[in-house]
Amino acid sequence: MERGFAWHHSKQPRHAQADFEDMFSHNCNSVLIAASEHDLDYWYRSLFMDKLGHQSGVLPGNGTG
Amino acid sequence: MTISELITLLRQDITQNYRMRGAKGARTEKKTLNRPILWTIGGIVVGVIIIAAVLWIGPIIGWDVISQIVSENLGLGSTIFNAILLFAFLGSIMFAATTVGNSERMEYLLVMPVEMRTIFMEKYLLLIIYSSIFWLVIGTPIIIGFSILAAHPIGYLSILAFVILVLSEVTIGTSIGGLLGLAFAKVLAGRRRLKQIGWAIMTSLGIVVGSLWYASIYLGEGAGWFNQIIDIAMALGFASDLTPGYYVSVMTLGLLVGAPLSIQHFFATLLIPLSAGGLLYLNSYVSELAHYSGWMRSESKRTPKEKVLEEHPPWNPNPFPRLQMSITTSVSMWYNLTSVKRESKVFTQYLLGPLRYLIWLILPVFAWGDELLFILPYMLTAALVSLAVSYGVSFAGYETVYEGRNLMNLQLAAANMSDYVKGKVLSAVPFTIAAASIVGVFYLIFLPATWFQIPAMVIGCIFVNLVAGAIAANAGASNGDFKAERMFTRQRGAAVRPPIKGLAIIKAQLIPNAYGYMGLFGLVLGSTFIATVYGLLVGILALYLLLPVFALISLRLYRSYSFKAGVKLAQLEASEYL
Repeated sequence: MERGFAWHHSKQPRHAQADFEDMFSHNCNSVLIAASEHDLDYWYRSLFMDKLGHQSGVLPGNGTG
Repeated sequence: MTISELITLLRQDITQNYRMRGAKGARTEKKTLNRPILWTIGGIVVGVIIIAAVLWIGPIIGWDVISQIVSENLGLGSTIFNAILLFAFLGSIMFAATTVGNSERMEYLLVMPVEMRTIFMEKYLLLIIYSSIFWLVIGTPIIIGFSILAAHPIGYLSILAFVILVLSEVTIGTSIGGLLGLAFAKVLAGRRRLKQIGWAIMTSLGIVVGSLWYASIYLGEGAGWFNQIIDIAMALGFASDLTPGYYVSVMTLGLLVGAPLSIQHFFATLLIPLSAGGLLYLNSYVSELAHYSGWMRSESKRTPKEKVLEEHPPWNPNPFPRLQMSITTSVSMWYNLTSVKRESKVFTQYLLGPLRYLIWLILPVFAWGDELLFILPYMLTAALVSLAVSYGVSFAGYETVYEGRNLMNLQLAAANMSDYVKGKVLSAVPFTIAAASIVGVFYLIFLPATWFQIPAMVIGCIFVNLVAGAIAANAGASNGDFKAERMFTRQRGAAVRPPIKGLAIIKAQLIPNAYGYMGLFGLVLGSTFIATVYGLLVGILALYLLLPVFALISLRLYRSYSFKAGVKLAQLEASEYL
């Protein structure tokens, strides 16, 4: 079962980390991130790999689980 | 922070989103490719010319001679290299305090999924590139030229050393300047009054020092200034062995001529790029800190969560004492004063700006001394007229044009526009009286014999001011660019348009000046003549009988031009300037 939040924050790494840790400490296992085209064009790595992969131990999904 | 993020940001900023042709549209910020291409070509051409010049002149002097001179004094370039550091330092103080701070553009950048310090560091890197490009374009070809002349393999290393060390030097200067700017931002954070006083002092210093600078050049002491600067630089230790510039010079020139470099020199030079990197990181870290602590916070444009009831007494502006004026006029007058006073930079510019050319009127007397003392009264009179006209142009002319966004409100309010213009003109009068009185005191000190003319001068000046204001407002209303904005904070790099353009501003300056000169000179010369021929008493009598005539003519002009300006303002299509 997926439990999670839709996350619309400023995507600043330090806020992201704090927010994700908070979510996981509340037994959530998924985050829906609102990303713009610009984010995906230029910042795919920064947005998904660095933030989720390394810092929180979660891998990016495609929304289906 | 990752290097790839930094490079992505830099690439976005440097390559930008240029268009092959100029993009249309009033609000577009898209630039054409012409300018960057032209600059690149220009840089390459300059570089090639410099290399060719070095290769041509070098053999004439002889490489042996050059090599010997350089080897004997490897610190030859320390003054220049230290100057590069100083320029970078001075240029970046303002940059750190304003641009890197929380400008609106920064706010947009900070939504990206990149650490703030990466973004700040990228901004500093950009500044470093822009500040060093000049030195690199001029300096690198010189070093290339000489290393070709030197014709030994180590000589070519000096090119690399030069580029790295100049970039490091600019980085050090920029970072220290940036830290200082951030310190200023910290001190001034949330202190509006202190900031305003600071701006007022800086602006007036700028105006006065600038005028004196040009005056000194005019008086033939131009070269003296330059020598003094060199002396000061020497006194500050610019040619000293313990400055970064010295080590940059030793390293670059040492490699060029193949002089033996000690291990001590090598490590000292290595310290320059290392400290540059450290300072750069420190700067971006402190910028991030500053952002989180709100030092740079601009005033919020969002409406607060809770409704804030501002309590203040009802605004009931009073007219000048004992002066009949309509409510529109008095409101306009006080509104104008308030909006000019709001920004101390603007206020100081308006009040002290005329000093820039007044100094030219007074200077000849001081420059040539007693021989020209007889023209002093005319110079002082001319100064008075110029002051009055200048105040009229700024308070009534410019301020009318800056009303662009407010124009629709004014038209809908069904205010009498002529009265509104009159208010603007009248708002300059107190300052004219104050300035004219100060000049009057000078008059009294230098030429006590003219005591009876001084009150007439001051009063005449007020009327010149009225005429000038009305004429300038009329010029503004007919030919002003109502899209112009009075944004002194954005004057660098941004389009701040001149409010009144072309012939209109020349007319707005010339006609009142001519009128004032004719009027006041007529009064001065006429009364002096009558006083010498028929006696002092008759002279005084004639002066104070003629003054009301001048005043009446002035008032007529003031009324008619204010009326014309008002009609023009009312007829403008205000929706274009919303």
